[in-house]
Amino acid sequence: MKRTILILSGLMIALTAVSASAQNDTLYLIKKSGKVSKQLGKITEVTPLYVAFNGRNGAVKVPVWEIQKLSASTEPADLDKARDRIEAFRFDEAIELLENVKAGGNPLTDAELGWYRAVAMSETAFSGGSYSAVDAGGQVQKFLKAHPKSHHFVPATDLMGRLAMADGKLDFAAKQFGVLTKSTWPKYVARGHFYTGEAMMRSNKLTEAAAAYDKMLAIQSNDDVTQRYKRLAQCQKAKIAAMSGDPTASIAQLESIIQQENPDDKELFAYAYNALGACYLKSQNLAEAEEKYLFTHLLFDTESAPHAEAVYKLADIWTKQKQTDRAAEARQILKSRYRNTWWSTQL
Amino acid sequence: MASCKNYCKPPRKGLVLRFVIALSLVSLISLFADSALLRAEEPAEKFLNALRERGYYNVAIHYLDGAAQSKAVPEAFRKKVSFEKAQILIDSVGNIRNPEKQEERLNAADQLLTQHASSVSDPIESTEVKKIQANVRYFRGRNYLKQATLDKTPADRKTKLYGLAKKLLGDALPTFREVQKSQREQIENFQIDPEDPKSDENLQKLQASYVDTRLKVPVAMEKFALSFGDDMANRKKNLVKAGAEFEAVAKLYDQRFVQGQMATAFAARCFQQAGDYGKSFEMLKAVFDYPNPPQPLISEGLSIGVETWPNIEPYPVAEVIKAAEQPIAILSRRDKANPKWLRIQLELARAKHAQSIAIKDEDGAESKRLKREASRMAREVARKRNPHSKMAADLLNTWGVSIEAAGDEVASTEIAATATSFDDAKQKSKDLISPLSSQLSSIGKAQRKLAKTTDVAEKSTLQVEVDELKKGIDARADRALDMLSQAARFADKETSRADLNNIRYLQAFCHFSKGRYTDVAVIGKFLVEKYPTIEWSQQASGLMVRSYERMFDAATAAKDDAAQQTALAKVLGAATTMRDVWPDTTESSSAAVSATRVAVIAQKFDEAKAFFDRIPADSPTRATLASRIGQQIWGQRKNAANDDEKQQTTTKAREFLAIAIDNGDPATMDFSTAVAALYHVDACRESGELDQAIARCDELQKNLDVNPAMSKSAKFRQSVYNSSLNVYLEALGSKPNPQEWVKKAQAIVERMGAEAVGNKQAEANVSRVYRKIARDLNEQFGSLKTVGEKQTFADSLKTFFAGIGSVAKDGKTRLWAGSTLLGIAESMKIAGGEVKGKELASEAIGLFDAAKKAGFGGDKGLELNYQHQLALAQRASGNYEAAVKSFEKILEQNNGLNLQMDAAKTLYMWGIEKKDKGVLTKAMNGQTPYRDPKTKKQRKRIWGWKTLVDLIKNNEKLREQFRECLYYKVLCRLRYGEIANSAKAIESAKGELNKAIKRYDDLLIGPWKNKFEELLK
Repeated sequence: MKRTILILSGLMIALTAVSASAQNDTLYLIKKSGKVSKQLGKITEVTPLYVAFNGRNGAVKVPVWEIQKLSASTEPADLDKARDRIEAFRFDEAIELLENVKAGGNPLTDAELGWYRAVAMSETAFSGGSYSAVDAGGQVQKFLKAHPKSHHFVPATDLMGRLAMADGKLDFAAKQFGVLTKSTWPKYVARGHFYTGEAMMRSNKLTEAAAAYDKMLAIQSNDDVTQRYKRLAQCQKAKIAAMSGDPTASIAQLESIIQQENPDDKELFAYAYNALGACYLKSQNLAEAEEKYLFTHLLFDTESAPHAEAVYKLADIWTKQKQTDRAAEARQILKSRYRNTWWSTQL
Repeated sequence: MASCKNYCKPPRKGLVLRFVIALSLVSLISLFADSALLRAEEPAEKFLNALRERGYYNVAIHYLDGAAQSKAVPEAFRKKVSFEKAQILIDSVGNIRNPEKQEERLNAADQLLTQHASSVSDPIESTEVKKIQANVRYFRGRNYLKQATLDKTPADRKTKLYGLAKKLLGDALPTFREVQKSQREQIENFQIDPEDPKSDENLQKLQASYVDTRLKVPVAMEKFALSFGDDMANRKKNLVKAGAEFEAVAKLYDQRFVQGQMATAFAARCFQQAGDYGKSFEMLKAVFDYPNPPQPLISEGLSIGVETWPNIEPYPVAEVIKAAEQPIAILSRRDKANPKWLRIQLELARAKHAQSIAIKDEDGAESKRLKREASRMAREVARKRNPHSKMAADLLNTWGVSIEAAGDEVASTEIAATATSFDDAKQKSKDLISPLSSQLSSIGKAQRKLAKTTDVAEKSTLQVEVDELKKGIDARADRALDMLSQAARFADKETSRADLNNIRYLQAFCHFSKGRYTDVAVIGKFLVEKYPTIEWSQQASGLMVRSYERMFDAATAAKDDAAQQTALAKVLGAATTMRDVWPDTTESSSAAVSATRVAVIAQKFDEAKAFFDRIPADSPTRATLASRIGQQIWGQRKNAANDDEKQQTTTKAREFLAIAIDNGDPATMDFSTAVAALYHVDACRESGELDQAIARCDELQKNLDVNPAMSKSAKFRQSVYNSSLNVYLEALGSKPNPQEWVKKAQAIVERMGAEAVGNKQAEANVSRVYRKIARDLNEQFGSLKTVGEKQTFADSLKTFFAGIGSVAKDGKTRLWAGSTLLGIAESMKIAGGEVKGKELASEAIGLFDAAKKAGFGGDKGLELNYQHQLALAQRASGNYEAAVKSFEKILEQNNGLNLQMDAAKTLYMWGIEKKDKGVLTKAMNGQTPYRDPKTKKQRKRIWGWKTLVDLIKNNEKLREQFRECLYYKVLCRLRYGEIANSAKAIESAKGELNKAIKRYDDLLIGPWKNKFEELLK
């Protein structure tokens, strides 16, 4: 009898556990080591800067930058599959999967659905896919209005800014990036300053752009992301200096960066070579400028933002050099691969 | 090997001098530094070794010649001077391509060794000398054998060469055996002296020498067998014997020495040559089964394999693939073009194709892959210019695959457009890129053809072909670039830098194929600067240099100076970087070649020289470049500001031209080198190195018919003739024995004449050449000072002009030659060489007769000239009677002042020679009266000086002729007075002259003043 009671008790405990698991939300936390740990529990509050979570270690408020992803207990499988597709840059497939997910259930899931749809559409737009920057911007705007407290709010603002910049709405973009600089999310603060500088540069407001980069460079944080944007900001500042004065010093500075930095940092090298290209353009040395932009075009074409700029500049240089075939080819790349970028709107 | 490289290029005089000075200084310093060296003895051995190591063989020989007598040289060294000299001669042979010169040196070495052997008492040393002697004979025999097997060697010469080879190899073989036996006994009886530290070392040396001798025996046996030539039975019998001997050596040593393993391969070679393919095949299996076989063994084994495997039934597919697959896969670019490796690649293709058929039913996909690979490999061989291309084409034909077939295209269309991973993208990129090389080669050929053709229709067809090929290349490169771009996107932190670099290199190659040289340069520049130690950066940078070079060429063609200068700087900069980052690599050498080339075109000769010095001595392009540089510099002489600069330019040009032709066998040198040789002749002449110029000319002429590159070009032959003529004519003026040089010049013109038969233009050219030579000879004759010199020279001239009569076929040239000879005859007579002058004049008559025979084609002017010249020649030869008759005959049809003057002069000369007053009177008053049919008046056929003076004395236009006529008139009268011993007549003559001087104020001018005054004395 005792034995039967014991078995029944065990069975009860097991069933309780299964039931508890089935009702748990999941939080994927990024550890300091970079590894991701899965935490089960209850998400009690979501804000743009933290998520309140009641799990194994009790109630905690997790900063949003420590969260890789979260999912509600009732989240449909297709939503997670869509996340994977986005990770693998297969945005069209992600959008298709998200079509299968119905909104109106769990608000957490609704926010995730809105966010990933916005991301997939935006990335499709950035890579010259079937959505335009306006389409994607509409989706992001919709998300921001519907989920102003989402933990994706800051990244969504960043996305909005970049889409606006791609659409040529530079003032609006600058506003979005300005919002980022006021968030306490270190990565987005850095991005906010950097992209404010970008928007200003494209508006030809070089003084404002330089000020934004200065703010970026003044950030005291030493985390990898800030350091990365600081290096990029140095390149952009050198470029501004060249554009507004004598490019000689800028050339020396940029060459020094190229000489000293690790060439595996493709983004930095792409920005550095583009900046050098700008310096030589300012010096009216088309051949050297061509060579510098070609570095980005040929060796760092995986960095889409600087690559689009390099292709645009090359199209211009080749037109001036009467290399019509190459100029046409470059324009074709902008029209197809970068059709939803600010650079293609400049053609 | 280092010494081998060095002696490939003979040291420049300055360099040797610097070296000797440096060495002397070192010796001098050593004298002060080391008291032990204060003895007055030269460090002869050390010095000799230093010379040998640097390849200064000529200096070494010169030194040894002096050392034999020098008291400063240690006694012990003096005793072995012959031996050392023999060694130097043997060492130097490797550097000489000309077999005759090799033989000369080896023969001298052989004799020196015989001389030395008699003075050696130590048995070990004596055996060693004997071995070296056997080696010398072996080398000599091998050289003859090599010459005998050349296709170009005529059959009778082959027989002779085989005989010589057999004799020498037959001598060497028993000596080797004898040495082997002696050395074995010496080793067995060798006593280690515990107090002599060198004792053990000496034994080891002896043992090593014994092993070497043991291996030499079958080597000599094999060559001896081959010296039987067409005597197949003996050849086969001896080859089998040699094979067995190699086998025995292999059994002894193959586990200890690489040479032992090589002996297995050589055994296989002997059996294969003897036709015993089964045995050869078995031996080859052993060769490829050795663990970690060294590269030379594999290479030798494969070379034997390609001659053996096709004769094995059934064809040993697995063995061929096993042996050849890996070596072919890792071939360097240079090796890929080597005919030997192309043949091996073809055999591998054959095996793969056979394999594809064998597995067709069980594994269709693999079978297809193998077939494609086999086709690709065979096609590569078929498309390259090499001795096996026909065999490859036949093989492809047998397989039903066209050389230009779309086999590769089929393969590429099967490649999916998207990749699933980095590795997948990389592999797909490689599959796409693989055929690009051969496509590039095809378009290169088509473009060259297009550039050469002048036929409009063919040009248009070729243009279409080039466009199509270009389209194909671009399309393929674009697809590959797309795939490479995918690979770059797949790359992550796990992707190795080498893999990423490989992608970059392949991208660079695709851009290169598309002609996007700036893009290639950008990639290469980035990789060399940022990843110099990572694989593929080197290759990408090599492409970068080639791209800059193409940009330079394009700018040069477009005459865009600014772009040319920019590209030049880029080539030089990139080549410098490559030299610094990857010294002594193939890519760095190729970059040096490119840099040298562009620097030459841009006339930056110092830069060209700096890069040229970086090109390895064994680089096949070195000679070609040197030739080009030399020629370009030579062309620069005309821009020299002064003589010094001109001389410097000449010296520079000579230096490069000498490198270009250095060691090149004139019988086989390519056209570019042959042209360099021709330029070298001129450069030597200008530098005053006439002997060198003569030697070079002699060599070129000797090989004009032998060397296919030279014999094909009529223009080149002409240039050789012209240069040689210039050189010989210069020798004529500066060297003794003029006869020799005239004969040489004569021989050339005869050769030209023989080649010109039937070609009017060429015949006319020969005549022109003759005239030029005759002019030169005439000038040289005029510059000679003494009668003796003139007489000697005149003999040469006689030979030369006699030659014209037989070579020049037209009357005009013969007439002209006769006139020139006559002029010389007259000069000779004036100089006091009366007899020689007459002799030459007689020769001139012979030439005029020949001219008359050849005819003048109805040209009346020439006919008259002939008659006039003949009369003059008769006069000069002393046959005055005939001369006067000739003049009278001419004057019957053609009267003229010059003819009358010559006729009067002839009478005067006749009168003087015969001391005949009557004839002198005729010279004065004329002769042979006749009635003029027009005026019916009495006239004289020859007017005489008196009439001549009267006729022209008042003619302002004929003052010079008047002075001459008056001079001879007075002279005639004076001589008449002298012969008649009549003072009155003499006074009367002088009186006439005095009156004339008073009357004509233009008499005593110029040379006439002295002449007339002389008459009055």
